[in-house]
Amino acid sequence: MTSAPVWILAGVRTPFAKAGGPFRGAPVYELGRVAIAELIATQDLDPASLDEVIFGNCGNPAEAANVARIAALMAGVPEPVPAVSVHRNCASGMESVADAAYRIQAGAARLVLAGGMESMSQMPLLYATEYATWLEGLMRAKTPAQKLGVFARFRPAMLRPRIALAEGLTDYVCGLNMGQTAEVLAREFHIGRARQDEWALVSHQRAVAARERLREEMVPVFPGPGFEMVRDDVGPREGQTLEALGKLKPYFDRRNGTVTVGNACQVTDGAVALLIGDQATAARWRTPPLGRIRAFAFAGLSPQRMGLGPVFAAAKALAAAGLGLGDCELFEINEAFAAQVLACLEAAKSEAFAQAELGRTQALGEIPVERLNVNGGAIALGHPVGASGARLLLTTLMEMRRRRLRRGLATLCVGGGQGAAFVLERD
Amino acid sequence: MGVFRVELQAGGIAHLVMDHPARKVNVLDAEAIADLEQAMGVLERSDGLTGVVLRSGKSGTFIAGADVSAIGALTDREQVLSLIRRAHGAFNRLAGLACPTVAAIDGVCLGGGTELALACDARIASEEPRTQIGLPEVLLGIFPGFGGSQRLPRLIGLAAALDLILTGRSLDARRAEKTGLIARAVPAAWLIERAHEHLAVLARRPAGQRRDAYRPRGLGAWFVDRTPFGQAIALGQARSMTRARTGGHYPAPLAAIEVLERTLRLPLEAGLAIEAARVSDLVTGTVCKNLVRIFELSERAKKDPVVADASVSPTPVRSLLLIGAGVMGGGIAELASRFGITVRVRDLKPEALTHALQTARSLIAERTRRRGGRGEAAREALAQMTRIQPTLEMAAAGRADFAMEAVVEDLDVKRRVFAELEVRLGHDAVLATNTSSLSVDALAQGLAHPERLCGFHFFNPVHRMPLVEVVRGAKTSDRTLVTAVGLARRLGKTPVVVSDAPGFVVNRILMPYLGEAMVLLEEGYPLPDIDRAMRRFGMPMGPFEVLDEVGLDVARKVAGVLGRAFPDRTPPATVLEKLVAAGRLGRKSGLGFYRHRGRDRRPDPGLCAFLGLRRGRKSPGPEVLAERMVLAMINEAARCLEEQVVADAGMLDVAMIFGAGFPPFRGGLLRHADALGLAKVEARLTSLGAEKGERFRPAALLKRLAAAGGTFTAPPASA
Repeated sequence: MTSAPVWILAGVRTPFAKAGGPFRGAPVYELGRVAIAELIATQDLDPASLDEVIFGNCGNPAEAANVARIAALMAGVPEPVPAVSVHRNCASGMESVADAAYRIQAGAARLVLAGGMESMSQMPLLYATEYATWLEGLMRAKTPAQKLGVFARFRPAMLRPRIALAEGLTDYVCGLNMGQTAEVLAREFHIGRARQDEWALVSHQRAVAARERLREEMVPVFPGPGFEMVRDDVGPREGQTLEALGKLKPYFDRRNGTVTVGNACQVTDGAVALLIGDQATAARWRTPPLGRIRAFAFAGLSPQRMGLGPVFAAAKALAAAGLGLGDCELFEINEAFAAQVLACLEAAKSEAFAQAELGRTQALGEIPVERLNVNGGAIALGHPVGASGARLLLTTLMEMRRRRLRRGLATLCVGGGQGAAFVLERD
Repeated sequence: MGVFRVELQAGGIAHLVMDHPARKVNVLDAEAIADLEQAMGVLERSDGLTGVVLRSGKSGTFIAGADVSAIGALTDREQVLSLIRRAHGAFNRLAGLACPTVAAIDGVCLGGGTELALACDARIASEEPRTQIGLPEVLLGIFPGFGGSQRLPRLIGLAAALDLILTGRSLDARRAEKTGLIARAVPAAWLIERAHEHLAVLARRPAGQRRDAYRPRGLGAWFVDRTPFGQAIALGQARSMTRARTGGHYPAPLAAIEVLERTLRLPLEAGLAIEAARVSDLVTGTVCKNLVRIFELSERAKKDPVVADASVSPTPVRSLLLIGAGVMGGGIAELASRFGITVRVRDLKPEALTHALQTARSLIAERTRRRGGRGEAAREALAQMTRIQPTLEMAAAGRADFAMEAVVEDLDVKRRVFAELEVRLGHDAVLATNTSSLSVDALAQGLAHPERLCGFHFFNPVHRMPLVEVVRGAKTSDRTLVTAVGLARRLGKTPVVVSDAPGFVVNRILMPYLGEAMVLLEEGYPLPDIDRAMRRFGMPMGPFEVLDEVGLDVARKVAGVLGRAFPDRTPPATVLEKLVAAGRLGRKSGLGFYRHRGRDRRPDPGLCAFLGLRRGRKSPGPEVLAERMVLAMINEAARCLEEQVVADAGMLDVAMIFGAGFPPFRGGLLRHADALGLAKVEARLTSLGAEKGERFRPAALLKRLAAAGGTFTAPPASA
């Protein structure tokens, strides 16, 4: 994988806004459109030089079968440049970059616009299949008698909506929703409510302190219908306290649970766009490239414990790179849940876990918390599922540049029992 | 035979093809009429024809109408009358053919073209946007004279016919089908096939009912179009609307209403005779000549190459960078994005961007609503909005081909903007300023490539005012100028190239006019009388209404620039100073010369007291008041010509009509001066000069022309 270097040349993202917030009226492809158009403008890029546009997205709107194509065309990417939408749940924003890397390594592309976008505000309500079947019957009925028969079969319960957002965040195979998988890890690693809330507080404090720094990776957005400017992430709270966090009721297991909306990631809208290029393109790029992909990996595990995905994926990616955890200077673990991040830290430093689950003789290593999620994580910033993966890459590289670091590790847990990890490098 | 040819097709169908050999688009001139007569002879002599299709031999255009320049040149009423009667005869022969006839329309179909199509039994048209069917004669001071006033009401009913004839608007195929003007809208690819099918449909109808004729749809339509009472109401409404809209200055629409009324129950032939007589009167009238002149001038403004070197071609503009989202930002962004141009709007203040986006959005929404609000229109509206991209950063300027600044009117600020743009933009990007009061040459100072800079002066509100003054600085290159003029044309505007003189053309001529209005006010004439005098003259608004709309602070700024440039002939703007100092800025502050409430405007009874003026001097009559203000304009216009601020009298007249609302029926400001007689103009100015001061001293050019017996619009070679 190290044979043909793949570069992340540049990137921008929209601010992340709580679902139902200022981006309420913007369809997902509109958020993607803004990210793409702004990246093109800020990089002074001739969009005709793109080989492809690849975007991750989870909640595919019905009117936009291939959201990447729609966002690209609306952003002014010329028609001959193809576009594809990709979906690996929460890692969709990393999947797009991985796909770009595959194309570049195969010599099939030199410059790809990759990223992720999500509007969790605009996840639809759906009708149940029973109701659709009933409607079909009604349309097929010819005579009044037949119609009356169909009407007699109507049940009001058929009209109960299916909430796409809730169903999307529930694993079909194991039947647990994401919060319940976090409770599984909290119990397994014995991570109590207090530790989770403390981590959540750190996330907010770091995000608030990083406001100016985070602006460097963002473009202001003027969403309709009011066109008021959104310049910062909406999630981070200035005055977040342990008391306030402590008052929240457990959300996923009301009686015995530990996971609350306060120590879980926020449901969010946002989009991220990155430019991925080959060695030659990076060499002649107008601005210094953000960094290089040393290695990446996706790993699978049991859906109930999906939160440990980062550990599995990191082990795989580091092995591919021939590196150890200690070779990395900066870390991101996407904060789906505080319990899940803390469980990853425990698992990473456990030799028993390494032997039993990772097929290693030694523990993966200890991730220093002061070098983890240094600008806050999804608990404060929010987690627009299809976009977060790309945001982690962007945030990690921007911080590595600020701190003049050589190597970073960005990881993410994936609903359905997967993990994703990217080893990033700068010279 | 050359203009019309007859092509025989399979199945006994003949195509009557118009393909004017001397022109790019088909025009019904005298030659074409003579040729049509011959073609009709061929068709009448052909045996066994099953149908005739009238079509154009020009791809993508049908028939653009009559020959406008010929209309402008006709002065002999008898000649006009005989030409019209001859056309009537030829058209009647087409209508009278024994076999069915169908006009197959693809592309513009206007005026005489529509009337020729109306002579057919039925019409079908392509649904492409290029197909526009209408009778725009009224815009040239006449009304449809080749049978249109007679055949249209018979086809679509009186009310719809009045609408089309009086507004001159054209319809696309779908709308035309809805009103019954055509039988069917079809894709262009199937036009001929469908026309042939339609001939068969007509052939199956009983003899005598073959022609498509009006059938009222619904009781309301039946009442308006078929009962004498309903017809009277429709005509009465049309009359009062026309009076309100034209102020009685335009004879053609009223004549059209009268002809439609008189011929309502007459047989076709009698109606045609009346139509011919009235149109002949109008064609030879002054208003028609004036409107034809303006039409030809605006065509020139739209097509003129602007520079002598024909090899210079404009740079195509795909993306526009707009610096400063201020007053006009939203309007400019909306306009450019409407024509497929990506607009990056940059402002340091987020609120300014928010406001510009809101303005653009409401303009887009308004247009979308007018276009039906759904389907294609709604989709286009969404796409248009995505082409407007706000940004706070100059770094995100992107790859603009054309950068326009509309920041605060401050030389240093603007210079800094251009210095930065020059570094950031590609070397072939054009830079433009929307300044109304600063000098382009002054702005160009310090630029490494001053040849890239020009002025691009929009008028407010951008979406409504058709004029753009493109300012050529001393160093502006041909390519820059041609690109700017090309952009203005692409945006549907009428560009007039002006030189870098204070106030350019429109503001420079308007200021003495507005200034004179204020002097009249100070002399004690009642403000409403002054405004009324100019509205009676034909201006869309009186001078004080204009001042309040523009904003008194803006007016003061422009007055200041001109006052410094021409100190000897500018009256002191004391009235403006007082009002601005008191925060009375016009509509935007609710109080100016008038009191404003929403769209409503009322005289302010306290104005005279506020200004410390004596009140109630008796007005000498509107003509006297208007004369002084108009003479002030004429005199300044003469100086503009003399200093070659604008190419010629024609372009100056275009600028004043499209930029200041000078009444088109007068043919333009300088044409109006010519009509008054330059000797008389000079004499009046001289006597006013003696009475009122230096500012009325006649311009040198005016004196020369008056002495030589010349005119502005056609000056003798010596002047």
